[in-house]
Amino acid sequence: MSEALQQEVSTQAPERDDLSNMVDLSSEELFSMEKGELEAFQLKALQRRFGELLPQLKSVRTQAQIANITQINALEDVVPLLFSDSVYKGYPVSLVEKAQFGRLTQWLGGYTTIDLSAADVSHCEGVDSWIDTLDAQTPLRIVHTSGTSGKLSFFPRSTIEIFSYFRNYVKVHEGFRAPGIRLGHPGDERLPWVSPVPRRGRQMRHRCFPLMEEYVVPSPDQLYTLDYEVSADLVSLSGRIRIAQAKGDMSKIALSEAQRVALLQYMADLEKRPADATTFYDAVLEKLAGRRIVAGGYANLLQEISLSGLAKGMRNIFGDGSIGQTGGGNKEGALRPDWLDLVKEFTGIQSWARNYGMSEMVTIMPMGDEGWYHVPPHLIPFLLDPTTGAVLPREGVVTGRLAFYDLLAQTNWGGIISGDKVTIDWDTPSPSGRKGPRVRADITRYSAEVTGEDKITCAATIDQTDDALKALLAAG
Amino acid sequence: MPTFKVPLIIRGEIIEDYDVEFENRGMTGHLFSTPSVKKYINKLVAKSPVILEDLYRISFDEICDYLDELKSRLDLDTNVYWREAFEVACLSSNLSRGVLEAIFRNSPSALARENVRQIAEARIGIDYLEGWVRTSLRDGRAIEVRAVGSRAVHVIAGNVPVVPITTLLRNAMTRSDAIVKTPSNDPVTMGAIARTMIEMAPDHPLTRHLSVAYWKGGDEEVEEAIYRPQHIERIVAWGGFASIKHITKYLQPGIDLIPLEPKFSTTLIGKEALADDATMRDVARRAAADMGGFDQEACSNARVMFLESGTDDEGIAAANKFGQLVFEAVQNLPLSTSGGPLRFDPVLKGELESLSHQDDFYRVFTDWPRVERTGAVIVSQFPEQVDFPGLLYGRVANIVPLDNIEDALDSFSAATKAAGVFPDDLRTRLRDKGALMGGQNFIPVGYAIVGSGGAAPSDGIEPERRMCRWAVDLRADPQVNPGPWMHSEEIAEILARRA
Repeated sequence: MSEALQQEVSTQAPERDDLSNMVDLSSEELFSMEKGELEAFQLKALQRRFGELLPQLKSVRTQAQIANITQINALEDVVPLLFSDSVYKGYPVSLVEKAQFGRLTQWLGGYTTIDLSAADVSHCEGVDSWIDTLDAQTPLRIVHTSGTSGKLSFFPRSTIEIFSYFRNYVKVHEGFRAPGIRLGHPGDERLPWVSPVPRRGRQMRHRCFPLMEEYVVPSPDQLYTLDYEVSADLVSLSGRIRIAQAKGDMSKIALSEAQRVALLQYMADLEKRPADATTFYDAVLEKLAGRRIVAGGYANLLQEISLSGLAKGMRNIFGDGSIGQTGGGNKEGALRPDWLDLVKEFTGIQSWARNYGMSEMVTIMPMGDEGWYHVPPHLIPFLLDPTTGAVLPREGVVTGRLAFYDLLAQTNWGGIISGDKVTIDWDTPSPSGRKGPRVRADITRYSAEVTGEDKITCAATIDQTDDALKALLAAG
Repeated sequence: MPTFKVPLIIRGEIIEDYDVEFENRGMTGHLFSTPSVKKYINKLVAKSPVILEDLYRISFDEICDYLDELKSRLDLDTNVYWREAFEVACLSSNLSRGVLEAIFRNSPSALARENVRQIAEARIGIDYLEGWVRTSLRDGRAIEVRAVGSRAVHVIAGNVPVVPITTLLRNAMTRSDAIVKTPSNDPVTMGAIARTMIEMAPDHPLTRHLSVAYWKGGDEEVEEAIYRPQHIERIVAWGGFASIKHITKYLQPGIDLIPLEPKFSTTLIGKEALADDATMRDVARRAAADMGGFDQEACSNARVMFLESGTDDEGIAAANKFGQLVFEAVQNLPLSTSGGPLRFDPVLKGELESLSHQDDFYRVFTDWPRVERTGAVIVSQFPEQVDFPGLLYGRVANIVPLDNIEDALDSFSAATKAAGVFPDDLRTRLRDKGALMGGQNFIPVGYAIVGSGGAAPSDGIEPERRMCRWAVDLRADPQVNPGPWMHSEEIAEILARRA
């Protein structure tokens, strides 16, 4: 750990504990436990987290009361204590709309062991300034979601979880019983990092950039990203507009002059972002052509960039031994079957690591050679019946709603029920030799499927042709 | 393997060539099979409105006789089709068995002769349905107006199985031809009525003007073939924003949409309800019926309830007490009114759990181990509703404390169906503004699920009148009424004669 980070963590946040430090174990150590050994470890660790967090988190106490659970004797005992994924957006939205950030802080205080009582957020006018203020005054590092529901979730992570996530994120290049590349530790090899995503913001990837500057790239100017900020305020406003458009009722949306101007800028940015991502590569290539680098980014974005690069005759742009990592990006079937081949041809990078994670999770699951994501021991997965919520058997090959307890959450409760439809093979040995449960790559969302036909589905973007929106945005 | 069969019924003919399977939305994993509508489109659509002629050879009295007889035959104890529909509904609907039994036993009474007459008279006027109604104009001309039927597709809702009876009644009363597109969560009830009609009077014009079909909503091949002006004049569409929005793409001159969109109902309770313990308990019982009746599956159910308790500590304490009383009263409702939902939305359960973590903002009154059956009452601890009003189902309501009950009108919109109000004089005071704000139906607290029994406009519109085509016969006599072909001296002569 660097001196700067050491200082920050030790003066403000509690020490990283042995469970958080599991991210630093080798892949061989993580994926070699037999089922009995794994479950015994997980039960003990879970009991410990429950014992540590129960007295500190009001939310967990209430949940335990509701579920009438006082102790954990088996892994499944934690299931009634897993939070619904709506918990972190359970605050009254009017607190944001009326800028009552003191009360919002008080609400979030029920979900983190970090003491927020001394934080002064009285001057905050929006979500961005609220999060930034808590960043400055406490070790809390809120991570917000993209707010497709029109309301942002706020995950109360701290510097500890961000660091664990970061280590887990770059760990994907480490080999399993094969040589790989270790990144992110003092003394590790340093490589330029190329990732066409916005640099600034308050989502997990933005939280990682300062750590990448410090631990991964040779110098901070060798972290190549897009020069944008993702504003939580604008993300939530556009989410609200999208929902109102989907419901055909824009009448309750009112914009302040500042919001109007910011939203126009945001929409203009959204429009030119794909083009920027392409020119981004042109600029990057001036400095990095033929050099060994790490490339990242969402799969759909990489596909688009590769298509336009290949059309311009650009191929094999990076040097030998470059590596890439990607994930997500196929929400609306945007990916062509041959997307990875295109990306390989354009970048020249043959080795692409894939991860499965989500905002709700600190742990990241790496994909093995055989195309399944491997669940490390610090994540205790469960599959639930999508309608009844009952726990499905933890053996054989089972499909259900993914729920989990994440032991890497040290300052907040790690138990969440996700909206992902996931198939887990609990027992079959993996061809790569990794042990433990593994997740099939065909992950989808449950929401639409379970909640029926007449619920609102959100298109990815605001409908800019909407007359009501045009009227709202018109100067005046 | 299909769990049950749903015949296609086309104007008195039962088609049982089952070759497609669908999933019943209510019953997880249950399938039903039905004939492919695509194969029968040509038969299903009425190529000319002239087919309605036979309905004009019978009198309104005969229509009443027919419906009255049908009412007697829709008997749960003797009618196998009606019984089967009930049993399937017990599995596929989200209503409890007791509530469904009450609906299947009581809803046919809407077809009683006197009730049909009352509704027809109140909604349209029987004279207009039976013949041409003359109005004299002041210049000596006259107009004669008649309400004639139309060819309509009814895209019906399946949440509460009273919609099939309402649909049949509207179709018969207006002498129309109905193609009823049944919903996947209730594909059988309408068919059970049609089969009873076929058994009762196979050749009667009313029997010959009801078709019942299931196709998957949004199946463009089927819908493009049916929704054409040469085949239909009206689409009566129940359903969500998305499904109605989808239907609007078939609209063109010649086809009118009668939208019965999703609605939300609410309750406004004045401070008088908190005057003393007995009144509080009484109003809580009535509010519980508005919220829990029909297991809160109907659009007339209360979901967000505003209470003029005040928002200081004392007011919030009173709201909490009232919330507890409403929760208890819901548990004590007669089983024929409410028994608790069969399936509880896990997303709502998650929301309830997260609210329970934050007692600064919300108090949740429930029996946690049985929450999916008992439902819950959420009392906001500040004057705002929860952020998920659209999820309030399964006997879950949100009580919102207010300093001034009139502030509740701010929440009204075009989607506000019923507003239960207590006490009565508050209703009189608020209804003008409430109606302007979008409120459609003002009722005494406790009577939400009873409604008007069809005697009043629905959803702010008059579907029965809109189902009719309003034909006008203008009467004029050239001896009395000058015409545009006449020159001024001829006109002067006529006017002089009239004077």
